[in-house]
Amino acid sequence: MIYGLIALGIVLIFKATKVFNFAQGHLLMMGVLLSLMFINRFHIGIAIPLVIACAFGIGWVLERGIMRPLIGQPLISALLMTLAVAYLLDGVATIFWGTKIVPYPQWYPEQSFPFMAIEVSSGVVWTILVAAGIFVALAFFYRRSLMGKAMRATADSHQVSQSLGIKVTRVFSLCWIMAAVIAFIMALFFGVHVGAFRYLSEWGFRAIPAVLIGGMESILGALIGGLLVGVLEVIATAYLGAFIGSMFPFIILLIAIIVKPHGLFGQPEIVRV
Amino acid sequence: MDVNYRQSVAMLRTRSQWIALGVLLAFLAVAGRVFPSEIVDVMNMMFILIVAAHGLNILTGYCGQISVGHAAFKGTGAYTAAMLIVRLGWNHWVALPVAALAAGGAGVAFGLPAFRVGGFYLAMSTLAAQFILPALFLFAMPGIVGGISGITVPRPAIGDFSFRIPENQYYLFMPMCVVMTIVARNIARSRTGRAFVAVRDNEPAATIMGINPFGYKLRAFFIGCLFAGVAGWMRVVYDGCVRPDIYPLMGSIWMLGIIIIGGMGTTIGPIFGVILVRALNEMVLMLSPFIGGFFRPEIAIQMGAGLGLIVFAVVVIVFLVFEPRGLAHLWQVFNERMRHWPFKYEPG
Repeated sequence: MIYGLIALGIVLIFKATKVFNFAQGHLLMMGVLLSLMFINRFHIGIAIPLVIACAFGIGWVLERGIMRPLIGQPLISALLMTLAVAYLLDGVATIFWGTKIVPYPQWYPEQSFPFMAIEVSSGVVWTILVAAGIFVALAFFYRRSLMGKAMRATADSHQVSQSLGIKVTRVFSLCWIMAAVIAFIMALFFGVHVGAFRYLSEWGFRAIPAVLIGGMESILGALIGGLLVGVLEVIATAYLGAFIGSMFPFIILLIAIIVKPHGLFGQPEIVRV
Repeated sequence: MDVNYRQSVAMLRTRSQWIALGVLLAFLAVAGRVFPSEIVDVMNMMFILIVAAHGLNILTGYCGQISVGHAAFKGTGAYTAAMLIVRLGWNHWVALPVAALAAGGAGVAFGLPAFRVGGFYLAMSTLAAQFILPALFLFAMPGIVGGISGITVPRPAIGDFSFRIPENQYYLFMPMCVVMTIVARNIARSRTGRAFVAVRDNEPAATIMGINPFGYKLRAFFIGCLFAGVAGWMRVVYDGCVRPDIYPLMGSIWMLGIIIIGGMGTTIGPIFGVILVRALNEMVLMLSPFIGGFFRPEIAIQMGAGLGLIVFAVVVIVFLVFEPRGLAHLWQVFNERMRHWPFKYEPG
């Protein structure tokens, strides 16, 4: 599920800007660490809006300050830029939070109840509900709102949408902000499950197979790919051991690239000379 | 100027270039004995990185195939060498070409998806390599591969000249680096190198001109990872051991950053990049206790590691935004300026 939501953030940015964001996992990590700080200092009612405000700020700064100058540059520049951003966030986190695991406060009521013969904790239910909520909201946003339509147009062709009066740069900003906000919201739940520490950012890289399997441009694909990779990884760990399990997402990734490179829901691109 | 063909294809065309090269080689020849041991050690590390960076530069800079798995391919070379030397008792010098070939083979294996997809998807396949190969080093057959503690490898020696101390290693790494640089330059300006550039710049157009993009991409993967394998062998000699944690994802990204900073698609670029990045890194390591003094002690401990990451990331960002062609381009501009001096230089 977490894979799915990280993948969702990556897909959101890729759809409109054609930039693959390697730093999505690092955004998640920053989200966990920042929200940890806020929740420990303030009441939860103040902390959550603060976290979302931070996400807005970071998303906007990243797009405006760092990605904007690279429009029109080759693919590798943008890729490397997100990697550089990733390591910048890593460095900041290392300095201020160190590399230890910090316990994350249990900020929502936790109880478990039986559900179809298995015990389900309310944390899992909350996570799934919020994820589903984000997904439905996004679907509505893309189908119904003007901005959502502008985003889909931008995804098709930057030049055409620019000439139709869509502010492409604003669409880009919004995409990055949305991706950051999703990462930060998920961080609130993710932190409770696994605790706060720097190496959370690793999950960002592990979410990449989910993006590719789902298809680079498909939001539904990101969620399904995330679920698929997550479940397969757990199954592989259980039946084949931790060794195979830890690299299983990437084995799936290799197979996916060879067999169906554009994913389950993606569209191949047609290149002309 | 009366220029014949031999002169115009020569790598060094003017007398001043020959003199500059002579001075540089003379400097390199004595540097290993003149400088203190710590500096020689840093230079050794630079030589290893330069060889690896040449490989990545051929793959990414010339052929345009982004690889985020270069450290893993380097590790493949290192592990092959270590296993051959320790488990099978091979000679170090025999193990070198085999290690290089093994890394090249691994590169081709992970480059195979290029048959169906290009550019960005291929980068994903190398990312898979970066996660799968180190996991193999760590988990596969600990009796042979060494598990978490790795393999301890004895240093090679020629007669009584043992490559145990940095001053002596210098005279192994420096010539290797010089040779590999010449090889890299010659690959880049051969038919193969020009085909790489054609594939990078416009793949469909390259196909129409009779270049098989798939074949050349695989060739680029093979050559690039061959260099990585050589660098891996050098690293084994440098460390005297192999361990899974020497070849992390971070290493691959450092390599990418180095060729960006140096300037992709130039042979001089990786050299500049390595020197700048390593020098900055050493400076950060020296300065971080000082800067850490201004902060709380629990923050100060992590200062070195964190600051290293931040400085590296910021330098890469600055170069991407302000000079995507890297130090090599600045060097070219500087040269042109000097050539026209004292007249004004008009960039063409």
